[in-house]
Amino acid sequence: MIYQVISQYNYIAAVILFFIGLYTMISRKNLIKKIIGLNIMDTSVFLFFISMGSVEGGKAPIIVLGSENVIYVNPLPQALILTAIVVAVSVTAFALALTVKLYGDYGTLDADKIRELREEPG
Amino acid sequence: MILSSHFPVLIVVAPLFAAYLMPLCWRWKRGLTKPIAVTALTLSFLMALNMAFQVLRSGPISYHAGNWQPPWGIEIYVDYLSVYMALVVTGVGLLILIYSTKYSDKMIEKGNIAIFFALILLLIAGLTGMVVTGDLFNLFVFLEIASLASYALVPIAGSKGTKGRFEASFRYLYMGAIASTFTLIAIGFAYMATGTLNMADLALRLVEAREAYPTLVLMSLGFFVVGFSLKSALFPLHLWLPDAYAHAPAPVSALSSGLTIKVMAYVIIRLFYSIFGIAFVSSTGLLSMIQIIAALAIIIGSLYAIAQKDVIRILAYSSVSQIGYVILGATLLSSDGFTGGLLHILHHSIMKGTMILAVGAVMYKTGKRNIQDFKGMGRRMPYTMGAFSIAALSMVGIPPLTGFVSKWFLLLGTLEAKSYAFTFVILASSLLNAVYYLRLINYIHFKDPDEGSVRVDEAPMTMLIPIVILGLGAIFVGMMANIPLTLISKAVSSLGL
Amino acid sequence: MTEDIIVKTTARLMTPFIQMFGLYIILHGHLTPGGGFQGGAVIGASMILLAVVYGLEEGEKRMSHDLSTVLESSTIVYVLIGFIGIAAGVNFLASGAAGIPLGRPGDLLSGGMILALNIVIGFKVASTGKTLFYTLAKEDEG
Repeated sequence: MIYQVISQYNYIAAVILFFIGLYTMISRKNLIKKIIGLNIMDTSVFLFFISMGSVEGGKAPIIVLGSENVIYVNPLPQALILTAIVVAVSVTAFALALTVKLYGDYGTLDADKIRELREEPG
Repeated sequence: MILSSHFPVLIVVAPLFAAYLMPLCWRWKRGLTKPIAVTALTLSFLMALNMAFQVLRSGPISYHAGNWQPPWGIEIYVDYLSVYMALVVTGVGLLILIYSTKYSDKMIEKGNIAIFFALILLLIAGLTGMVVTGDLFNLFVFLEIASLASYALVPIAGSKGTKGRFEASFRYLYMGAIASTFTLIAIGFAYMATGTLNMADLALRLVEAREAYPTLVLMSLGFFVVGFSLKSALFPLHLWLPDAYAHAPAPVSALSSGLTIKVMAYVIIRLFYSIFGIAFVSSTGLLSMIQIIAALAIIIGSLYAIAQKDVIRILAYSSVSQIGYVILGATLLSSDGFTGGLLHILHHSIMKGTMILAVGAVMYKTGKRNIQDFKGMGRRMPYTMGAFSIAALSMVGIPPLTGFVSKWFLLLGTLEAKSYAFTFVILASSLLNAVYYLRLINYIHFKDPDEGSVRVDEAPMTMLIPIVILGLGAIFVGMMANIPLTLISKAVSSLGL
Repeated sequence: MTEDIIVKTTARLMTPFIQMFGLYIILHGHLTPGGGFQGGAVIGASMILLAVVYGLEEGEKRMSHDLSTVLESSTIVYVLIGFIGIAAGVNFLASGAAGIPLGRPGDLLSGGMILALNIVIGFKVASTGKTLFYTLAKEDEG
């Protein structure tokens, strides 16, 4: 039982990373740290997908003439994660752009202070 | 070569293509920007109409992108439910886009107009894509296209927007990003359990996977439900919604309220009925939980709406309540309830579209949107406010307007399912709806305007026509409910109820 | 920007190689690990390097905003390539079925339209990466 759990260390790492990321997103007040937390969370999902499709001793899944009997890793999770990385990059870029704007408006990166400043009239 | 056989993919490609043309047009041929946007979406709408006839005539259409056979390639699968949603998305989206062509001149910062149209087109392309796709990962990609576009649309008004717009957008993004990650994890679990991402194939293989890997399938379902509940602002995960709506330009609020959260609810329906199988979902006990959550959403959304002073916020909380109707109808396990839920999607898109666009027209003229500022508006902008009032009455459920028909079916559904508590919830919520909508109507038509308030006249034609068409749509869909019902009843029976 | 001869010289020397490597990754996307996105990201990074070392104006001179707007809209070409399939009477984005020669596996000109699509994506990603950095940096200055 314990051996089974330990042998799936990749998933355990993904779960730990996921919760580190989620915790950072929820507990930190600083917007940049929240974005970093989001990225850690995304990375954990990437790790989960990639390790799911990996095969021990597997090669990159590209067919070259005369290599039909090679073991390949599963290319599908990799393709999915490439797309997910693009999405994560876009989300991060947009979040950073918003953070720049918020800093310009309020002069702080603290989410609580921003809320206080916003609720002040004028 | 018959072009109409390519409509399932072209319906997504047309707005996508136009979206990328927008920045180019803005730079070199500024006059073409808006006509291209409207043309692209009109084409999409016509394609949706054509597909509706194709599907009604000869059953669901399956399209293989790049001639790759499913389950390896990406399949686009248009069945009754998809084509119904595609019609709602492209139709209401088109009217909102026409409205924005005029609205954007005054209410959006000049440098952002091209991006504004590009993002609206991307949002609609993403939503249409989510509706027609038959592939789970493709769904995620379109979900992200739509979500990113809607995060960016919140602060798009630039210097002409409200002060908190960036914060609202950030919170929306923050919630949305968590929801997306959850969805991705859910897709991962589903792929782990079955080894496929094609929805039809997945549904088949999940039957075995349920026995072999029960935990994986359950985890996948759970992550999916949480992710899409967040995206569709199902209570208690609705916290991002009122702020995002209050700070976004009116057409954007109309799009997200009318279409985005509806499509997210569609995905929940699709997951329950087409992929996991409703019998399995109900055997896990999740279904009754969601029913209760939806009922709470209906009541609490309405209660919040009563407490608001800002008209957009009233409408936003009302959306929280209305999404509850859709979800409740879909989870009642009765064919009438399901019909009511699906009809409510169309109904609410039209109503919320009308009302938010009308409020936008008032803001366009006066720049104000507090409930006090609506005093006597009915005499100053008779057509806009007339449409608003029809929509509001329809929301309450006055016959013969469309809200009555969908609520009638929902009531029949609760009776059929013998869930009398929910019957009571729907009736009580109609009463609560009446409280805040009739109060609005009272302000608009029966109060004299304040001394010294801005004197305004009717909204410009380009904005008025979409509002009036949507308002008349409320009457039309109510009187001739059998037209959408032909599609809906097929959709309901094809999903096994 | 402070004058730093080592950084400037290194960046100037490295940029062509970085961009060449990016192009290699794009062009061999269907033969080796990599592809349009990865190669495009490398090229975009080279432009960011230029901006970091020489300042935003100098970087803007090398690749104007107009040019990157055009390149970012290169997705249009992607869609047009997709239409080849429809024009040939098969489905959207079809490649082999549309009669495009597939070539011999391992050759540069093989895999149907994948090479063309990779090139389009590469340009798109490179210009997007560049624009993202420049826009954010300008926001910060302004």
